[in-house]
Amino acid sequence: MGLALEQVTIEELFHLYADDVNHFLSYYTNRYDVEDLVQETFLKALKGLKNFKGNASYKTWLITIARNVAHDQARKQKNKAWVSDEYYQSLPSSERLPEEIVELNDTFHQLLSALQDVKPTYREIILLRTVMDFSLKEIAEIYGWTTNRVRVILHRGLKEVRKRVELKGVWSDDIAK
Amino acid sequence: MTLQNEDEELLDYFTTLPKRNLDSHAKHRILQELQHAEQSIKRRRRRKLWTSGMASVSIVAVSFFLFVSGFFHDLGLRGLLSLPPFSVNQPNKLSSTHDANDSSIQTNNPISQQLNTQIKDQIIKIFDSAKEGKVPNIEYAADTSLIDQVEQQWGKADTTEKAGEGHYATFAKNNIVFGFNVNKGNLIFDVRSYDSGLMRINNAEIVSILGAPNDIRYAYGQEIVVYKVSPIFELEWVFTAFSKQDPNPDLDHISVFCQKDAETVQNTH
Repeated sequence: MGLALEQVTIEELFHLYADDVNHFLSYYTNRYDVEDLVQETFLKALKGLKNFKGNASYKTWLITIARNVAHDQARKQKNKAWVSDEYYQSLPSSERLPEEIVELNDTFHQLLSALQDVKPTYREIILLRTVMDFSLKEIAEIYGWTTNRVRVILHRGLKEVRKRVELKGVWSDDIAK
Repeated sequence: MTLQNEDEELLDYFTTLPKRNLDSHAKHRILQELQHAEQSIKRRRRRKLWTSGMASVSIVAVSFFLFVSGFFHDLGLRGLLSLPPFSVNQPNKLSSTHDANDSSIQTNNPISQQLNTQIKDQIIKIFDSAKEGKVPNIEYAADTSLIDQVEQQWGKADTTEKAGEGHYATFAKNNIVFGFNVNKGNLIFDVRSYDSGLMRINNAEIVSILGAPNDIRYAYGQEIVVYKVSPIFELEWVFTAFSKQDPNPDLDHISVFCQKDAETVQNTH
C-alpha cells in the first residue's frame, strides 16, 4: 500500500479530481471563479503527497485541503465577507454567466442564499453530503468525528437552512411539498 | 411530515445543484503551475541528495584513510568498522523513491488504474459517438442537424466566423464549435468539442486503444490524428504540435468531420 501511494502523481490526481474540488469550492465560497483556490489546493497536495498516509481516500484528502485553503483565504480577507448574495444581486446581469441567471431565477437561489447565511460548519457538511456525495463516514473522516455526530450536525444545518428560507418568506411550494 | 423526511427532501434539492467544472483554460494553467512547482521540488531534492551524497562519500573516504593508516587499530576502535558506514548507495536509494513520483513512469497504483480506465472509457465513448457524427453528451450531429436547431435550443452562437467556404459557430458555454454549410441549408458538417476533460488524453493512449490512425496531418501548428470511423465520418484528434520541447502535447480538441457535407469547404483547424 505504501509503495502504491508514493507512485501516485499530482497530475493523475488533478485529472481525476480537479472538477470535484472546483465544484465544492465554488459552492462553498459562493463564487464561480475559484481557479486560484483550486490551484492552491493542488499545490498544497503536491507538497504533502509524499506524506500522504492513505488513512482516507485521495478525494477526501483533497477536499480536506480545499476546505483549509478556503478557510485561509477567508481569514486573509476577514474584513470582507464571502461574496454575499446582496453583492450577486447588485451585479449587472451581463456580468453573470447564463447558468447563474438561471439559478438566480429558480428555487436553487433561495437555497443557496440560505446556505450562505448558516454557520460555515453547517454549510460544509451539507455541501459535502450533497454536491460532493460523500457518505456520513467519509465526512466523519474529514472532521475526525463519529458518523452519529455528523448526522446530528447535518440535521441541525438543514434545520437552519429551512428556518432561514422560511424567514425570508420564500419557502416555495416546490420545497415545502 | 417527519423532520427526517424534510431533511431528505432538502438534501435532494441540494444534490441537484448544477455541476460547476473548471474550464479547459483554467485546467491548463493550473497544470502548468503544478508541473513548474513539481520541477522546483525535484531540483531541490536533487541538490539535497547531491549534498548528502558528497557528505557520505567524504565520510567513507576519511574512514578508509584512517583504517589504512592504522588509526583505528592504534586506538583499539577496530570494532567500529563493523558498524554500517554511511553508504554511498544511499542517494541512489532515495533517487528511486524520487523517481517513483515522476509522472513519466507508468505505475499500477489504484489511482493510475482508475484514471487509465476513465481515459480508456472516454476514448471509446468518443469513438462510438463519432460513428453517429456526434461528440459525447451533445445531441447535435454532423450530416443530420442544422445550425438553426442548435441556436433554437442553445440561443445565438457567441461568434460565427467564415473560414474558407464554411461557417463556424462557437458556443463557448458548451465548449462546442459547429461548422456548417450555408449552401446546404446550414447543415452541420463539423462538430468540435473543447471539453476540459479531453486534455488528459494523450496520443499514445489513443493509439494503444484505437490502433494506428488512418492519417496524420499537420496544419496551423497542430498535429491532427485522423480515424475514419464510418463511410462518411472522420474523427480527428487535434493536438498542439509535437516538438522536441513538447514531445507529449495537449489534446486541444476533437472534431467529427463529414467531408461530403463540407463539399468544397476547407477543413481548417
